[in-house]
Amino acid sequence: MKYAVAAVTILVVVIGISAVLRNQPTGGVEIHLSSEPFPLAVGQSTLLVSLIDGEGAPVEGATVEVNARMAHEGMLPVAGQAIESNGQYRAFVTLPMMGEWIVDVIARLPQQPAPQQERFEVYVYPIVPPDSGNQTRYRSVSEIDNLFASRPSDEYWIVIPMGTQALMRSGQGDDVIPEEIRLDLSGRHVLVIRNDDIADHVVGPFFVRSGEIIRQRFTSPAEFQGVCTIRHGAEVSIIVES
Amino acid sequence: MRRSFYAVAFTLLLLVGCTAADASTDLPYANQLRGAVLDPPRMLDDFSLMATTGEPFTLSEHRGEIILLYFGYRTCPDFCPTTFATLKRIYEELGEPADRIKVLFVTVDPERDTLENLALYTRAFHEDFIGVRGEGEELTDVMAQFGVVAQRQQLADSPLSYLIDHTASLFLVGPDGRLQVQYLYGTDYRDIVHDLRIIMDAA
Repeated sequence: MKYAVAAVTILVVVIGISAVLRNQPTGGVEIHLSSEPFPLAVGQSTLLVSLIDGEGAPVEGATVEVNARMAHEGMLPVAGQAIESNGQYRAFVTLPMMGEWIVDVIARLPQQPAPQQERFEVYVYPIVPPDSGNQTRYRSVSEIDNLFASRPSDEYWIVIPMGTQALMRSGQGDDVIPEEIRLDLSGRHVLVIRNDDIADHVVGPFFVRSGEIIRQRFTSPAEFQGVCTIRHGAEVSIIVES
Repeated sequence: MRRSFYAVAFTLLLLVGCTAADASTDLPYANQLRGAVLDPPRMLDDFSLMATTGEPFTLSEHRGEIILLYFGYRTCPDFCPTTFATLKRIYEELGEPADRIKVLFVTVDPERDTLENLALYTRAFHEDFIGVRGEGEELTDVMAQFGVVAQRQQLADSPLSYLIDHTASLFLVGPDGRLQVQYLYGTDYRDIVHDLRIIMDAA
């Protein structure tokens, strides 16, 4: 019996660590953000907020507020109180300008005095794109940060944010990656590319469709040069050193 | 009693392991592969191209088999012959498993590569290798699914008149009909053999 108890304890510890690695927010509620239309475009839109508890069930009875502002100065912010409907919270907003926006979602949960907050950096398109790729929601800043923080030490991660293609085409935004990516067989030698954009992308020899992750473990020195759709210079070198 | 501890602990850890694996990919062997693994594996639209076998090669008719696709052209001076030499070595290393693995050469130069001379080319490496040919959109639609690009480079003083710069990766379509792995040009043939054995064992 005591062995079974010990085993269960191990399980609890392992699951606990696993939960931390998966970046469950404090309080066990994840804040998810999507929109209608998806992705967001200039004009009237509905922000769709879902609160998901630790068991994957929607949380009802919360008060949800959204505040949106452009990433650069000079535009008035947009705020709204969300209305709950079937476990989802809907906030109606009018976004007056295309470009990079910051959306803060603040949720006050029933029986929890401290509000829970999540920030999303989203791209607002001039018109609704005909295809949203394989994306259905926006990823929060903390989700991305936690992804990078929890990656294994031998992995080099590239995350392509939503809106990258639009930003590159308009000559705006920063390069997602440097001109040269250096990997080291005795250190970071696993290249992981995750495409969160609605468009497909090319990073040197890799073609990564919207919603895909490509993971390449290098085992020998190599050098690749090629087209890159996530840099304004449109080229990238991937160098794997021994 | 100790045995029961291990049994319970093993079962529990197995459950956690399965959950973790499910969270990242639906391929149970993904972490063991040495090529560039796609997560999730890419769904492919069906295609049908005329083949050197004398019949159309239709992707959906090959479920249960592993397809190794390479896009190139018969007069390619460097990447294509090198890759086909590697493919021949892989195929022989695995005991020529024609019923389980198909090697497919998709020409990106249909203007010069007829099915007849494609057959001569592929069979020079191995009689089981299949060449396929399409034109216009039927070819470009297939290329687009794999992210393959091909661009003609005119040569001023050459009887070839042009070369074609093209994607030199090898693509592995799994028995489920999805694109699972990409091998960059220059990947050690032993790494590809390693992956193929894993995928064949899992099928």
